[in-house]
Amino acid sequence: MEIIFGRLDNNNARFTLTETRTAFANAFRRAMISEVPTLAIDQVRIYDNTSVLFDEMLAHRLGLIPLRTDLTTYVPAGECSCGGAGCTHCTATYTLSVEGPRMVFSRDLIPQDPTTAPCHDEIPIIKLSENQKVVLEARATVNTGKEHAKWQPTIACGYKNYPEITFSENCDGCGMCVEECPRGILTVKEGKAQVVAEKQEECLLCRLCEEACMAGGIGSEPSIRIKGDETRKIFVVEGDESLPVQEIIERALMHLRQKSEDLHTIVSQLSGVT
Amino acid sequence: MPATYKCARCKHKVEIDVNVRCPYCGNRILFKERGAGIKDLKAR
Amino acid sequence: MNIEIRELTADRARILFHGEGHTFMNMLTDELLENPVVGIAKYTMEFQFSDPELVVTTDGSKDPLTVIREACEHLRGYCDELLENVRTAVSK
Repeated sequence: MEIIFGRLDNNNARFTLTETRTAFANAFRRAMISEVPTLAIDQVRIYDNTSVLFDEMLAHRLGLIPLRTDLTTYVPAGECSCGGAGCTHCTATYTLSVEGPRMVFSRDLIPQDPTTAPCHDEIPIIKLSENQKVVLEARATVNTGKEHAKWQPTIACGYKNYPEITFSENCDGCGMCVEECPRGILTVKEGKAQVVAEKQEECLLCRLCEEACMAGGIGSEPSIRIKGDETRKIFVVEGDESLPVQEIIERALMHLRQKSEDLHTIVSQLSGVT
Repeated sequence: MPATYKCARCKHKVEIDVNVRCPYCGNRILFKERGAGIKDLKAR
Repeated sequence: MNIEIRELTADRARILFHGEGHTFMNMLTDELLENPVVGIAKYTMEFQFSDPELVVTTDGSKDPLTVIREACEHLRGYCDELLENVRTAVSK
């Protein structure tokens, strides 16, 4: 099994996972989404709210704001030495105090620890008009997406089978597949259809080209054939900037490894093998 | 803590005892004001 | 991880996994089925959020616990390989 990166920056990754199986790829995807911890606001103490929004809705909106997370300093409340009571190792505190008329943005959320500031400054929370006021205190904790979607570190995270496109002898270069392809990955050269260089990975596996080929009256079989290779997966992982994507990938793998390790230890003890 | 209201017409603060009626202008439409208490919520 | 053995014979095991979900169980059963001595490897969840119960049967040449142990070793190996991979790719 191997990971070959096509793209990797702070917030986006695209890679091919080779010699794998669907079950492993799916466990990997699920682990990235719901087993990697991040910070999110969980407790809100509202001192004043004369805005048009109910307290509960305001709190819910605050919960969904992605926060920069340093997992070397913050740990989940259950694993903290304070026993979940809430200390500086498991809880980040924020204050928000705004008077109208103006829009309240995520940058108005003032963190006590600047490393846990919201990832984006421009997330609108609520619009206040004259004489409206919001004063509150919020506490963020570390948890996983399994508990609530606001703790998911990923926005888009998925995979597809690696597309394999083959052309048979029967291709007459009519170009109907080229017109039909939504990603524009096909072209006609020297009277035969072929894949544009370096664009094969962009195929959606939608098989519209196969239908178009059949519509061309070429016979009982289309000359273009699309197949997905189940042993090779193309992953796309997009983070919400709370954690670098590389860390999301590594932590998901470490989670799966830990699970296997735990089960291995237990089963070894049970069967008397050490 | 008694609930405080605000008269819709004269904007006076009103405390309701028996009648739902503003003692200053006689209007029967009152708005409930937000209490001074602190509210703790779960952000979910 | 917390498991509870419900049934264990030389070629059949029924194990309850406390607090596990589809993420790990599906990966584990798929890996178990890769082993040619395994007959059935399947987990059931009575309700959506109940604890999964794994059923493993073998042809008798290996006992179910050994088979599970081997599957875990493989899975751990994959993760190690990929972690190594990611780290070298990033350092480049």
